[in-house]
Amino acid sequence: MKKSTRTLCALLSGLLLLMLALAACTPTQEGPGATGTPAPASAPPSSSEEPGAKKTYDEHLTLSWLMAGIKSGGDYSGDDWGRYWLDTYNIDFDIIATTIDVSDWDERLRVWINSGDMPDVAHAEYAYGEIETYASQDAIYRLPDNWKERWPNLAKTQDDVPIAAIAEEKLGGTYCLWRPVFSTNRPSERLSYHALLYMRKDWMEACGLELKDTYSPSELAEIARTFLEKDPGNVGSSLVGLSIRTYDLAKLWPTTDFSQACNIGDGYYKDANGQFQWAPADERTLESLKTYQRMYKEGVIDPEFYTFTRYEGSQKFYVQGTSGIALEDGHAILITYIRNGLIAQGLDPDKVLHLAQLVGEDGKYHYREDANYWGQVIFSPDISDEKFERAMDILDFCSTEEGQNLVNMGFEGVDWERDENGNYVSLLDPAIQGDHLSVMAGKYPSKDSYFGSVVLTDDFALVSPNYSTDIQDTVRRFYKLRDELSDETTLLPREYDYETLSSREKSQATMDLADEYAKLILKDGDLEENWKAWVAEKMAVVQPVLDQLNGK
Amino acid sequence: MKNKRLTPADILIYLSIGCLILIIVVPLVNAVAISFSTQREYLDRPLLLFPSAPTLENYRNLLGDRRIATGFKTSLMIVCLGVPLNLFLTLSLAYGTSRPSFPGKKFILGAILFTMLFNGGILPLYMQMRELKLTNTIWSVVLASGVNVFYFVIARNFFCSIPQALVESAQLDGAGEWRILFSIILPLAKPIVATVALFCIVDRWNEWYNALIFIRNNDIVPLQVVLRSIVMESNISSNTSSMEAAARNFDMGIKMAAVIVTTLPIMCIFPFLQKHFTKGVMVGAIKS
Amino acid sequence: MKKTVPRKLSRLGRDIWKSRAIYGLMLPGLIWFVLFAYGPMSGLLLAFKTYSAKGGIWGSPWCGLENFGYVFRDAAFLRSVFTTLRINIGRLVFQFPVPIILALLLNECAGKRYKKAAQTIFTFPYFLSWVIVASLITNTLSMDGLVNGVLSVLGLDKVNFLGSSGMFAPILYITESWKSAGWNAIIYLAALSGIDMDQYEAARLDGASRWQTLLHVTLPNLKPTIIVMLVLSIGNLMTGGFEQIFNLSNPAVADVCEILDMYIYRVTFGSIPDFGFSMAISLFRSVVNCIFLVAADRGAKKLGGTGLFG
Repeated sequence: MKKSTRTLCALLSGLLLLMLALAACTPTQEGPGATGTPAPASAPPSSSEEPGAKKTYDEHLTLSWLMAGIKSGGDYSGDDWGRYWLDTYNIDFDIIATTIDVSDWDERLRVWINSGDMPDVAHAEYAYGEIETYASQDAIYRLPDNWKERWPNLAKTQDDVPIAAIAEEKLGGTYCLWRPVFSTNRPSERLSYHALLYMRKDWMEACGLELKDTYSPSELAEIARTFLEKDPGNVGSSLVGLSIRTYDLAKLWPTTDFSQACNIGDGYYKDANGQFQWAPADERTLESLKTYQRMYKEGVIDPEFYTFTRYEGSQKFYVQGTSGIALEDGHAILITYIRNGLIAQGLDPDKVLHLAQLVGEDGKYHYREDANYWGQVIFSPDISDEKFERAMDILDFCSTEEGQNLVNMGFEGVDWERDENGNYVSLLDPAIQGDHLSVMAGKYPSKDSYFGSVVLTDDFALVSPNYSTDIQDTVRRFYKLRDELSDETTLLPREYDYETLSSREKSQATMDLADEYAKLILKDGDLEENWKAWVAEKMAVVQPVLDQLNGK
Repeated sequence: MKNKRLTPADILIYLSIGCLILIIVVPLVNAVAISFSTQREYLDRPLLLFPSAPTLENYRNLLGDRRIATGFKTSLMIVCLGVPLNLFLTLSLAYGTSRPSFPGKKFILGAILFTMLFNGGILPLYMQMRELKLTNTIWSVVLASGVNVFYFVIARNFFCSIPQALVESAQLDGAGEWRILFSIILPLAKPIVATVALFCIVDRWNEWYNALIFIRNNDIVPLQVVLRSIVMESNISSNTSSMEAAARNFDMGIKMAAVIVTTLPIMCIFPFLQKHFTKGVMVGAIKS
Repeated sequence: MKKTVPRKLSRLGRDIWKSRAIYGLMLPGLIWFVLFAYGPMSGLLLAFKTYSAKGGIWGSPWCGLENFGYVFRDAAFLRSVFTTLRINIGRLVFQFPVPIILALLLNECAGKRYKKAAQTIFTFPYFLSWVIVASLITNTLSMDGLVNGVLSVLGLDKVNFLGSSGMFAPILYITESWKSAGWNAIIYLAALSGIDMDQYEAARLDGASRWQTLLHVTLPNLKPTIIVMLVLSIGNLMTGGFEQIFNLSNPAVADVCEILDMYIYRVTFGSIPDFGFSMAISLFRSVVNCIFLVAADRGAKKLGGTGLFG
């Protein structure tokens, strides 16, 4: 007994010692300058890559900057690209890297903002209402009134985002910079959502089906039926029809029949009299849901579509090959990715992949216009003038053509040049494979996709020489096609009155319409009665929102 | 010491435990197999027990990340600092409140229990940490969970069952409260100390939410936060993602590999603690 | 009267002085509670305030019971409260006994190595996160999954496990038991190993059968632990299971799965942060839990048990 006591005592005191020892060597640094970016401030700027004469900066600063969607630990002093920024702006970065997951990004930043401990600069992704809340409480920095004159290139990017002007007017000043998806390389007049139909070309040819640019839901159903009946790919019992997840199925029903019911904008729309209505409570939604349910019961849709996680539906198309039709995002990176998936199946994407646009039975494209922004850049209310100006200088430069080139392609003459027609030509090692972002990152590890960007990389992806021109053309072609195939009654304008409304009533009426539609069509019993009961219940929380919108 | 022959009851117990092992093990083997398989194979045969072409790709993607080493170091430090602190605070409080009545005992018990039911949320805790200048240090994570009321209740409950006479006789011998706790109570309470220690180790090892909020410095991010980031980065999404991420997008495989990587260290210390909470203690022998 | 008060006080003083060693013992723990548990308790005030980042917790304006008014206005909120209670009472009935039975089974097992190995294996699933368990479950229970495969081999009809409301709660109980019963059994095993061996010896000398020993020695010794765990579970009826339900739910079972936490998630996700509203819900939940806990504790004591605090 005594022995065990002694061992226990020894053990505990040992642990205590260990604790103290570790405590002594725990890095307890905090505040700026603590992270792994040693200061090479004194290094002179490399003359060959210096683009033009620039303002010089005497005071060395450290900017803490929250960036989402990048990997942590990028060492800016480790390569030319990173050093360019440190040297040109006489600066160090204390980068707080987060993933784009809400809990990682929005939620943490929210705690920091609300407890008055925000980083100097932060990329945020908040609804307008949240920006409004912080603006009214001075919890985020209000840009000086003359900022547009001082940083004109940056000011110009804000013209690409309609909500920027609305927010400025409502808040009585600029509290954030909106980050445009498309700016100088905008692919079409009216912007739409890029989702595309991915279809098996070889199966369609084997069944004698027509290859077109657009398909309506009924045509898709017919193709799915043919596939299921003839099984042109000899898949067997695991063959499914439309393998589309809940969220994307709402783009078919009710959206193609009744655009207003689409989940962007939560179903609120202005009717002919300028009064706000809620589309899911409209009979037209019910009619479309009936088709949705009929298709599900008939087996045209994958029987367990409602259990799909994010990519599970389309994976049946591009990984397993058990489905011939998927509806998935259609931007350059995803098209490349799905093509690679087909190659991994031992297929030739040029022979088996057909890309098309989903349209309604009327041949029109139905959805809501894209808001052309993804998140904001906000500043700490406690940021010093010097730091703010330095950050704005960087952002402003990155918004110029010169800055975009540097951010997206690297140094002229080293990483890229122009041919006789003025087109970009990449000088990067062709052995570095991938899209425009990873090609750059392959040479310059410090190159994070979002560095300095107010304008998102989607814009430059359409012209980057580090990218397949075929895919760039495809993406542009479909943007134009969607623009041509729609008018303002099918590609609905944004309802900014709704989007900028912030009230508890609106929060309480939050719901995922795609999930709600799926719930209704999956429910036992009569769809019409279920829908009526559902509408009656939901109107109790929706009506107060409508009343606020209609100024009652 | 007893006869070795198995009774029918023994056989029944053996068999039922065997069935339970099967129910537990088959999905676990499945999880391990997934961590060694490709996305294609997983999607074709989600219930596979042995991958036809085992690959280390998922582990390579996970462990190839240089943040992993930092994560391991930080988590180890949090365990080494946090677990002794947890045990010290929890057990001393549990023993103190297990003593026969003293003024304020009910109040203290009530106040402790209150914190199990009510809490002010993350915001005031963050502000408190900031006030104490602890944010962005691992001390914020260590100190945020000092006493777990649930473990406190369990330990206290056990201490109460120890005969008071033992304590009293020690007091007659002139032992102080600390001595009694360390030399009489804790050795007797070995099973519960081992249990609470195990629970604390696992809790500290799996620490992520507090770390996410309190720590911004990339050099002191615990393992779970690192793994979460890697898993999330392996999901492609419309606005981020590079080809590199897209090409290794078997998130389920990486997730499974991440579980195995984090669980293995715990499973290594498990047997050392296990022997303490499965072996009977001879209370009677000590008494005499 | 005048005389007794000082005398009482001096006796109190004497008692305090006598117990000074115990206070000293508890001091570090109590300091921790004051700093890190009671310091942030001010957050509870937010339930009666409109939070602004500028004012902080103390400076934000009071708003009376307005936050609660909003909470109770929504029919979905009250429904989620009842859904939570229904599911958690089910857990108490079907899930709570599982670790106890498991611990007893292991305790009765004669083969020492077998027992140790089994116990180690049983704790493993605890380390899998719900995202992973949910995907394992989906693979097992889907229409072309393992279970339906077995059913069709036996010539039975396939069952839509994932899409039927009636199956949702049982799936919750079974998966939670699968995941954490082994882990929770550790507490009972610890309690079992604390039982005085003399009692078993005495029972053996009395010629008690195995079953009798279980009933008259093992269970009575385990009773205080079971009661503590039961009271704590009852005091947790309004909480719990978010990760599990969030990952196992789908639109087909949406009507039966919206527990309180799911409701909070739906209403607050992507909305403007409303700390007053969230704290009001959280305070409501804590109060209900508190009532349950106190009632359960009283009940346990009435029934001749020891209750939470002996």
